[in-house]
Amino acid sequence: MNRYLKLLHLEVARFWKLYLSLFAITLLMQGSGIYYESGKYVSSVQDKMGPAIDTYGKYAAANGVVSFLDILSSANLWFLAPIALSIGALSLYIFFIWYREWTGKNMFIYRLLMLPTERRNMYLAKLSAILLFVLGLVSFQILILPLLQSLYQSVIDPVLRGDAESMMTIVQSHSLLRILIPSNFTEFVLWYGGGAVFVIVLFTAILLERSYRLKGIVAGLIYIGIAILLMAAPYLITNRDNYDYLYPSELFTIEFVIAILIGAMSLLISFILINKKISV
Amino acid sequence: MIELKSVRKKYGRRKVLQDVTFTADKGKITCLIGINGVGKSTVLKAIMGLTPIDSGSILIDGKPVGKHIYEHIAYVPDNITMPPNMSVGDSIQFMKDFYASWNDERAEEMLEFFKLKRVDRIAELSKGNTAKLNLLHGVSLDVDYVLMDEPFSGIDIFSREQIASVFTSKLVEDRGVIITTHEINDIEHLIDEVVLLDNGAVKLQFNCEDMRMEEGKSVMDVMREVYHG
Repeated sequence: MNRYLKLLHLEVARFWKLYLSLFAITLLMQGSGIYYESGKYVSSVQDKMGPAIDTYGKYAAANGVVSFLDILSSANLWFLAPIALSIGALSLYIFFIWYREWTGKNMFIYRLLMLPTERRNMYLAKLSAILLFVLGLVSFQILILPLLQSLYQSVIDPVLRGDAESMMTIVQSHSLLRILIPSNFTEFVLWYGGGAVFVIVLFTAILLERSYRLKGIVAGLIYIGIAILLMAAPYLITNRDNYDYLYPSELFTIEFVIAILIGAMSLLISFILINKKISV
Repeated sequence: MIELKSVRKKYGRRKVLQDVTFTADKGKITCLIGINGVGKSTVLKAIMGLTPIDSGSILIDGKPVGKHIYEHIAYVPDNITMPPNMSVGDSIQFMKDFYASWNDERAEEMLEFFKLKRVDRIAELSKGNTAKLNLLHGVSLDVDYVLMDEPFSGIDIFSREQIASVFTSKLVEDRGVIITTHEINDIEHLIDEVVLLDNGAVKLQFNCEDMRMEEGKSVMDVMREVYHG
């Protein structure tokens, strides 16, 4: 097995327990939310039933049916909290994946820098691990959506429910899922490519700090600032005087090119730093 | 041969290494001596490419530092360089996975000699056992040179004896060894060459045997002369 894959395997193995915990928390919280809100809905229906409305059928005819999206919306906090937690955990991990190598008296960075392989493999393994973790969590969310829907169906009587929505409808109707799970390739590239470039820029800032310490923090912050400014530049130009100078497709192309350039430049700087400037 | 020529390094304004020049030959044990903070560890880190130098050159068998050197030279820092939650067995597997020069048979021998258990977590090892495992990671590589930073520092007498016995065994025979210490008494009888460092500069390099034969001085005697005038 080549050493990049070995390093990637190592990175995954080191995060595995925490990663499984995120899966478990997501499943438990979202499952509990859907179960609780579905049960609450059934109870509210039962409370409203009386001599005039004595069956679920009559209730549904008078008040309409409920959909999975309605329950999902009621359980919004339960649903969003684990996603926010996962995003938070992975955001912190972008820094921790580097800084933990320098912590404690057993500094693993000594060993990593002395591996008989290109040092960029260590960098690429860390980057791939972060991207893999993000995609893994999103895939897990896609996988458990049908499970959550089944849970909702098991609690609420079919008479009270509308027709089951397709997964696509659920994703497209949810403000956050729509972003997390893009419906076409362009959106996928836009969100996840943009995210990857952002991680690459942060990695460059971290390596600047690890190479030049205090001065590196300033350089890193300036570097992040420049990257954000470059990404925002086409929007700043196009929105000037409230006049659209560029068509959306042109704007997309320009953003795409700028992102590629920032990503390539960041990778180049990172590889130079990791080979020539980094210090244990 | 490991050659350092006019190596300079600064941390901020502090000059840590000032024109450090010396050589260490294969088949010899070279000892870098100096009090704490004179730059001994920095010299070893610079040789291993773990800290950049400001000027000068470092050559290993005529080649500059790069990824290819890590199959030819091993470094045993003053602390173990594996994650604390790794087990002894996992750390050995890690070395085996990454280094083509890993000698599993030798690792097994040392594991038995040091009486280390594969299942123990590194975090739970005593200081002495951690130092032994650290040494095992370095010496089990079939490399031409081994660099060791204070291998006897802060460990019990029995562990010291076991570690010292490694130096007189076939485990380091024919290899070039650079070892740092500020307590020369432990290893005076083991070393061939001495490099005396003071304030980041080389004060003197000499061969122990020649010094004993020609001037009748021990390493301690020379150190007294150099450091205390």
